[in-house]
Amino acid sequence: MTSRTKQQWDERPDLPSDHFVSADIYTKQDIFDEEVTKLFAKQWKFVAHESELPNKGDFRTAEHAGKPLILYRGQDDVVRCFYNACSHRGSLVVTEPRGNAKYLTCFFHLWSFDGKGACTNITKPDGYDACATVTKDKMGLREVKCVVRLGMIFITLDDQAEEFDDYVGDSLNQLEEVMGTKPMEVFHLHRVNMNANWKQWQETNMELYHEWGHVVNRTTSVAASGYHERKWSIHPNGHGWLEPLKVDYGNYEGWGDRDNLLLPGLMPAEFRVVDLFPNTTVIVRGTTVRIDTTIPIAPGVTILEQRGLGLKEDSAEDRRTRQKHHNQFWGPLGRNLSEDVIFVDAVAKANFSNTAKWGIFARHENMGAQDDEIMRAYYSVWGKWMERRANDPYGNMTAATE
Amino acid sequence: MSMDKEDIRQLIAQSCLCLDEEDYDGFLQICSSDFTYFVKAFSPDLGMEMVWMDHDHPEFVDMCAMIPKHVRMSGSISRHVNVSLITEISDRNAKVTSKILLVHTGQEGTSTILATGKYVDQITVESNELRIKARNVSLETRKWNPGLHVPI
Repeated sequence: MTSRTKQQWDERPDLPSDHFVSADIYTKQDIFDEEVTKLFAKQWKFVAHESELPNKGDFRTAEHAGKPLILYRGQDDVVRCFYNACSHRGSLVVTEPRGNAKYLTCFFHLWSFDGKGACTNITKPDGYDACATVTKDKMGLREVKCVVRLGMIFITLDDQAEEFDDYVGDSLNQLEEVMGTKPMEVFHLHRVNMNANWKQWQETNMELYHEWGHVVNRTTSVAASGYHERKWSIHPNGHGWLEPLKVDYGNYEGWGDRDNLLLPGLMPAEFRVVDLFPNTTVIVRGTTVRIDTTIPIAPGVTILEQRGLGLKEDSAEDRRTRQKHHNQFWGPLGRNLSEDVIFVDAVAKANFSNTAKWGIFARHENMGAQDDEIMRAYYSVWGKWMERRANDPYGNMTAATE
Repeated sequence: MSMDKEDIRQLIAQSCLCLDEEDYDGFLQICSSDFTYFVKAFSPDLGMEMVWMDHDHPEFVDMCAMIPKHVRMSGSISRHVNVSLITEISDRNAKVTSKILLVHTGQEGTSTILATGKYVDQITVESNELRIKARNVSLETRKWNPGLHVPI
């Protein structure tokens, strides 16, 4: 048999239940809505790098789980996060992506807030004399839990969330020396509109079997000595990281080696990847770091937010080299990132048309680079948070078929 | 050879037609031997210019040679250019600022604006012919789907 009938095509894959997922997890609005409340409103999420707010009074806006947020470095030099909503009428307090101010003043009625979120001004306050609860000491902003680790700012909307360090465990260890030795700086931030589900993007950072599809990865990584021998480590919370690899950048025509300008703790051309559940990945390529995360908009609409980093101490010449290395792979005109978007959009098109009902994650390579165990672990954790099985999110399969 | 503005307009137009046709040999024939190519965009999030591409002549040649081997966005791209300002610096050098609009047409025939920005080209004379010595692309567009393997 070389092809399948509709019935054969649609039927449950004859695989263990964690070796495939249903396309419903990508396409259904009710599942997406649940992800917002059960995942994104609960989990720790990377939102920015501290170099984006280098000075006291610097602020940045962000969005997470549909909520507008403010990141604000106070006069005490601490970065905090707040809902971007005035405690008066709910207007956005900050309407620019970044800026600097000793106080944040709402442009609607000119109420002001300091770096700790305290209300410092209520315009013409005597109008509230009859209302004892509308006073500056009771009208602070809604603060969101926020930590900075290795320069990365993480937040959670859940006041009862487990502590960040417990949440990530040892997942950031591979980045400790690389990102924690010298101050880093974001030099690149661009966004990509994807007609795909947010998880489909995250899969590209874990399912490395697809590296065969990129000519640049095929030649510089898959062909490199030791590629398949690296082992995944998987954290119970769904995070994962891969043992380092020395990439052969010179295998791609016109590219040189990356033996100089190495970030702390790296051997020449060293590659590292750390995936943080549910939707953040940090990738290190010898001289530069990429942090990518997604902003889910709808089941089939996702904004990818991609940052590139170098060292804050970089000379102009060194920065230029790091930017070049970053852009070769990951820039909007790079040789790798665009292809991942094309791959993801292509899968989504078949999923959203109900043409392809299943995705298979059945590779076993002794936890090697292209082993799908990281995917199976990821969807196991997704299932616990969602109280659904990724292969059968609506519980349609009978016990017999299961 | 003097710098004739109409010749310069023709040169810019020709460069766009070559890029539209993905005729990189043709494009490089109207560039000088020390051609440089640079793409930047300002990030309101970071408050700084981002460099998106920075190639000298050999790097540009290598990049173009590898384009056919990549997985790429299907369809075609056309560059709509309006030469806005020609500043004659000397008999052999000029600076040209052009507004550009990149339009993508998918295989099914839908056209969408992909990017807007400007070219700032340095024009020189080499072998008694006008040549593009440097192309600096300054993009307004920063959010893409999915991204490009080809020069803008």
